[in-house]
Amino acid sequence: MLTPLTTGFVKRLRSNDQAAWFELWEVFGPVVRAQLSKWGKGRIGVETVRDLSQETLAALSESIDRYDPARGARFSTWLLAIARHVLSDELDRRGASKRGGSRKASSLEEEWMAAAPGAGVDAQYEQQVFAAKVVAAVVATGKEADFTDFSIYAMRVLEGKPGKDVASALGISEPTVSRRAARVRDILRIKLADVIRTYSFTQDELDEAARNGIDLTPKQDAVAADDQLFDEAVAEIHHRQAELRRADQSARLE
Amino acid sequence: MNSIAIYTLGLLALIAAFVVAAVVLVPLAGGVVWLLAHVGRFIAGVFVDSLRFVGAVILSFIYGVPLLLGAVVIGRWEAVRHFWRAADQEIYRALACLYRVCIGHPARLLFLGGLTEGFERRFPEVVAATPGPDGAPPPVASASSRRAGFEGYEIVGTLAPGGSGARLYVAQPDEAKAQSLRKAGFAPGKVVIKCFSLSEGSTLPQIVRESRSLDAARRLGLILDHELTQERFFYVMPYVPGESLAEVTKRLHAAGPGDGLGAEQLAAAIRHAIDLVEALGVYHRGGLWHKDVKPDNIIVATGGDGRAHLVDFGLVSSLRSSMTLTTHGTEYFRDPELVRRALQGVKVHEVDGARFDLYAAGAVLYSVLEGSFPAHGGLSQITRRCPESLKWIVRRAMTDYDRRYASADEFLADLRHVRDAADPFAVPPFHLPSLRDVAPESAAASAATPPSPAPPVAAAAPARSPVQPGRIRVANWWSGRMEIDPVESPQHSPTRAPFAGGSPLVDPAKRRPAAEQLASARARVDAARGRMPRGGGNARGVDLALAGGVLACLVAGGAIGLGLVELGSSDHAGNTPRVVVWDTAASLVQQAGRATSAQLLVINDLKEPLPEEVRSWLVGLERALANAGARLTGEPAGGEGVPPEDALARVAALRLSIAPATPFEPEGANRLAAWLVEHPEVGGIVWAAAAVDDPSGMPRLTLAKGNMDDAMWVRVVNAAKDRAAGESTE
Repeated sequence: MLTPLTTGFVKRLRSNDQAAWFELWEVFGPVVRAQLSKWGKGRIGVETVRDLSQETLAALSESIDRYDPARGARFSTWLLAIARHVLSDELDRRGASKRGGSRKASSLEEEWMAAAPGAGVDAQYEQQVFAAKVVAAVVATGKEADFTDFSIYAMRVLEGKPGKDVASALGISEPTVSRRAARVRDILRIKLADVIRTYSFTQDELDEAARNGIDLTPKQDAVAADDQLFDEAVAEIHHRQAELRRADQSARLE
Repeated sequence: MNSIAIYTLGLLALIAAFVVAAVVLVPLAGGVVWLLAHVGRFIAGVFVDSLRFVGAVILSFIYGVPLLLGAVVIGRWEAVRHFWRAADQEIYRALACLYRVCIGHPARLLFLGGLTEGFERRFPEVVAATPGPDGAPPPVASASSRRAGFEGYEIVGTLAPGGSGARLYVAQPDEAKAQSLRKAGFAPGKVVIKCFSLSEGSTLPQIVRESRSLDAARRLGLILDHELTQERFFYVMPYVPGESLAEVTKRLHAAGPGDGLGAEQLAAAIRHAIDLVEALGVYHRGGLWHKDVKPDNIIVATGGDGRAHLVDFGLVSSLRSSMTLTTHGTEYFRDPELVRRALQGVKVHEVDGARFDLYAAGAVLYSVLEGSFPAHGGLSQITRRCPESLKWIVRRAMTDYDRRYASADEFLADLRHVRDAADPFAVPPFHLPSLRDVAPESAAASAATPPSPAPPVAAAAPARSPVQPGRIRVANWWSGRMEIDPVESPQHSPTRAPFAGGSPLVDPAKRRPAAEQLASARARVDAARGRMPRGGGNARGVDLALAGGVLACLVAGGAIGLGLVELGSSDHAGNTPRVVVWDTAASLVQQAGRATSAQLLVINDLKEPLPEEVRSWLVGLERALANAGARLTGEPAGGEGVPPEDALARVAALRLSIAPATPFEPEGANRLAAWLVEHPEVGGIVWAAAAVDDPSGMPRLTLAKGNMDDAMWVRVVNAAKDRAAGESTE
């Protein structure tokens, strides 16, 4: 049950649109690298993780043509299974070369096509994939929103500054800060819905936002508390993802 | 029996003697031969070094007495220093020979070489590697560096190579080279030579990439010298002794109070950022972008002014290049948007490369303030103690491509405002020049409007009025006459920030460069001509052919009569006209209905240093042009000192826009015309270049008319022609 956005994105990937691949890599690269590091702890180094993560992309590129939505795999599982496939492939290769024999070729399709939703996926990984989607939506909002409006939202929500401080920094009143932040919030909701639809293969993934306290379709009579909950959820997810990216950077610069 | 026994014993004795001789005597003889060879080496070594000693003493005497004294007598102090250095080196060589004769060789003869080896090899290396007063290790000249050899430069050391595969040498220009550098306006100190050699592992693509924009960079004074041969490519930059900004950042944070930078360190960080953005401004005004701005490519001078210098021109590109964008650069300092557009196959001239540099400068400022790389792109937060205004500046520089600073000048204005404040922490972002234009009232008013997901205007971007040349279109398919469509109002597309760079470029998203439009228009003219019937088919075709022929004669005659393309006021050397006049742009500019301009842009392509005769001829020409009413800008030979930066930037932009054509050929004339259409403030161009087939060495002039007043233009052309005709009689 792919949404038109997902279908469009998958179509771009299938046509080998390099920009689409870059987009995918930019959004989910740190998550994949973190997962590979976790699995290969003690067995593979940073350099290998870096190489493997590039191989993961190549494997994604090959497997996208064989994707069958009817098998019911999640987007996150798709990424994960390919990462795991690439890693086990590498470990097999090392084992085989040590033994001096050849290795048995593993089948990628067997690994991920049959994967039932949730199978072999830990909650932390799922959270990271979702956080990556939220950050992608924030980036997209920054491209669309007015610079000052977006800065107000970033200072107020992502940096957690009091409205009064933001107002005094920009020489505007607190109500203006709230109004301009609200404009960005509205754009962010639209972008979040788009991003989640793009990078989700199942209904369960589409419902992930609500489970994480992010209401994408607020009621007309939504109260300020609803917006506050939304902001807090976005800020928390954003910080988690920023932390992951910092760790990824440290590992890469080692 | 006895005799048999005697024979047997004798045979055995003989065999034993052979065995003894083989086992004992042969090695003994070998030992004797080796000993003789050892002594022979000693004698030869002593003999050769004695000869070297004598030769060095004689040479040092020659350098020190007749040559050095002669230079002293005639007062050539540079030569005195030169001969003194040479004599000094010879004395050093003589002393080294003396040491070997008296100590080195005898010690080796007595098998004590191990004792002296440390003194002869390791000791000089350790002494040479003694850190200088700034703590930095001195550059060490390696054997391969001495082999490299660059004419006019003496290699004195090497630097650690970067990631480009080039070798980096520290060199001292010789007297002649130093003199030529001084004449060109450079301080003749030590230089760095970056060399790509096919024989030392560099590849052709690396050489091609590096050599692409260096000529332009040289015109801007960023490169002192460069050379491209079939074997290698090298360029010469000023040597800045110092440490990279990455190292400086570590030191600043170590010296800070612990949670960010202290007041002194913060001031230094702002200073370095200003130096960097100023350097980028020079690049962008010259029509170039650096493309690899990162802390490792910024050297903070340890002595002198302590300025931060942007180095490594390996990826420098023209902003107007027609090449496809590449993803070169360094992760964390490279705008992801650059990669995205590169992967989409976007051309360089279709984007504003200057903005990618500004993103990198923002990332550099972030890294200095935070002490780490911006891992999260434009969303990276500064968590350390830092003025809010600086956080705003970083965010503004690293924000989305369309919303970030439009130019280095805007960026610079904000940084300078923070620098000049008594307390940077007391400067709120809304006091920054880039935000001052957005009044709080207007912000509030905009906030009152209902939210819309449509991209609004970049609120913080100050109002600008970029040059908006109209679109060129072909008015007459047969003659190729072109006209300009009415100027578009910039308000028509409010969602895009004005395109900026250094030269007044126009947003390429709206239109293609004028040169391309002209080329395209000419292609359409040719195609239309090709579609025309070629006669013989019917009466109408004959009529058309006849009409075409008559029209062609009229056009040709008109061209000559109107001075559309007037060649040669004097056929001075062979068939080469001394003065070439192009009026191609005149009608296009006049159609735009712009005010006339008396500004005459002078471009000088003559090789420095100019012979005095040529210089005085040029000065005379410029005086005559000024007397004709023109206001000279650009690179006049008669100007005092170095021309202003903006004039140089404009000249560089013009050179880039007409390359690879020359101003003398029709293609160059088309490009000149296109440039003049884009630059209505320039009334005309005078371009002086060497006439290769003219033994007199006098330059060849190209004059191109912009929107200069017709009467003044006639005076200017006549002045140039008079000067060209009169030079031989002077």
